[in-house]
Amino acid sequence: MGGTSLIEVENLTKVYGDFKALDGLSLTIEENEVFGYLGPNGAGKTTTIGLMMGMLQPTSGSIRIAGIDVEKNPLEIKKICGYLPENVGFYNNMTAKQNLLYFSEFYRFPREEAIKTIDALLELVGIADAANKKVGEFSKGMKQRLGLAQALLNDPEIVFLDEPTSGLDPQGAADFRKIIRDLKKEGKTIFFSSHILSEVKEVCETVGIINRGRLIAKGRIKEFNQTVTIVVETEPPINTSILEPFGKVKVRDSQAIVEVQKDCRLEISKTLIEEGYLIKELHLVEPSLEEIYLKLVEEE
Amino acid sequence: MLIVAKKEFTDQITSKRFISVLAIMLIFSAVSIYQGADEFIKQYKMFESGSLGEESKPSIIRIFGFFGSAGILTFGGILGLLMGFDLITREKETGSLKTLLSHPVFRDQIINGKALGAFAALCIVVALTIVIALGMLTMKGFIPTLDDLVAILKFGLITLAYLFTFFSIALFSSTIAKNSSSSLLIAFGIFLVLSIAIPMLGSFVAQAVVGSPPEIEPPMPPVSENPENLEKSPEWQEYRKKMQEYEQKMNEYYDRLRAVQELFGIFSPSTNYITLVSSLSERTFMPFQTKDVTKNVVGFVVLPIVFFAISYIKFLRMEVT
Repeated sequence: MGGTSLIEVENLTKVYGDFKALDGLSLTIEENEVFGYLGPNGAGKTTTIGLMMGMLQPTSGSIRIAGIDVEKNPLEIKKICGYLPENVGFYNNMTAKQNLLYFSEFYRFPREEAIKTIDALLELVGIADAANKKVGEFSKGMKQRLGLAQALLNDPEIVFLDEPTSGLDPQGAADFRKIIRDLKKEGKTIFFSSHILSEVKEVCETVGIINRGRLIAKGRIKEFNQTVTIVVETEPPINTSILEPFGKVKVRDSQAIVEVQKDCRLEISKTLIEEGYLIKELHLVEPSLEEIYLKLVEEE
Repeated sequence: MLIVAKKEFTDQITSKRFISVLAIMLIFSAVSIYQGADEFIKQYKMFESGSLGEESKPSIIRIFGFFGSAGILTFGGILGLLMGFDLITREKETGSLKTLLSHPVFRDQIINGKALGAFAALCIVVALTIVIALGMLTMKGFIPTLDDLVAILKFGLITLAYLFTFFSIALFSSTIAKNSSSSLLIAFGIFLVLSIAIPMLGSFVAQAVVGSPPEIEPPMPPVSENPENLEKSPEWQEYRKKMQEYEQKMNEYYDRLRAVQELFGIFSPSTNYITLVSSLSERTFMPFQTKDVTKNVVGFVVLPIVFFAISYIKFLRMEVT
């Protein structure tokens, strides 16, 4: 981390009629980062990506990607970005290969080179066998895989993935995660929008949480763990006042639960031994991303 | 733009919808042209033999006949509508528009490309009609002159503009409608309004504005026993004077009626089409037709431009979410 900012969003607002889809969003994403963009349905995730891809006009604010002003140069942005939209759509009367060939024409690739790239991408996403099948006959999962192939068509620096694993079976989702990790190894920056927290935790280093058009938290997943809990069980049962200097104490059955700012198990065990307790249980519990997310959204 | 146009052209000419309506239109036109060609050649032979005067020289446009024009009017209009009504809505419904817009292409290139692709497909439609016409004439042993070819070319251009007008109406409805079924309804609604309602409204308004026709013609005086003195009799001279006044009033009445009807007619592509095609031949399909077709030409050109311009602006401002 600590690299250069590739995406810089400043005070971005998007209003549809009376509805404020984004409300003063500011965000920076560094090069070669896998950024998880979390939020409930209707929070403004797709709108953010639409604006970043230059497909929507902001009401106010600015976005710069790789130093390029998105509003002024949307075409330049599209040349360096790839986008897999949620519920990606294609021309159903054309085959998978024809669809990709059509999109590739906008990049002015030589035809032979385009065909080679397309064959490789279809292989990568696991639908090479269906290359000459009409997209109208594709399942949702196959369309999603083809969507990823079209997003990688121009070998982009940044890939925007909007709910990429929706509609995929577990194997498909695992394949997607593997591809995302490989893309990171290739030096690409990934903007991953999802509401599936376990998935985000698995592939992303940094997350942003958006609710009602506002970014309510951003940082590395570990940084969200502002409070942790330590579970203590002793013989004889502990007098909770001994633990109070460390943090807020609650008693559950025979266990004491201590809410602390950082891991202080060593200090607790030292105190317990000095007070003559035998330690039966002493372990740290970190909140899950889901717990953090729900807490933050509820606080909003 | 050409990338989009090429795809749209291929999509259009390979679509079952296009092929079916085109086939119906061409069959209708072919039958009409077959009959029209016979009639034209017969008239032309009479003209060549000197039975008809120079002013009665038959026009090559006669081969298309009334039913040929009616076939283009109806099925051509429908074809134009069917080619455009879901061009944008279908892409929104399937999500392909969003995928397309994520690649480096400007929105104006998309809509211009779609229009260009459809225009090229319409050129094929007109070219096929003309090829059928020329083929039948040649088959029947008539070789068209350069003037004939120019007249046919003009007919082709007018037909192309007519078909493109309905395509632009459909494209317009496709950019304003939420889905393809609504778009089809809007497009057919506009088609009916422009083709039927406006000419009818024109007649209605003309009658209302101009009022009733002049009072009935003056009664004829009794015929005297000596017809030679008839012309000199004061009753008959009075009658002739009144009759001239009556005829003048009638002409003025119909001029006013026609002026109001023509005002409405310029908003109707079908009226403009008939007027312009009729102006190419000596034969008139419409009553009270004038030789000046400038208004119709303007209406014919302005309508598709207006519809296309609105579609263009609407598409450029469309929020694709």
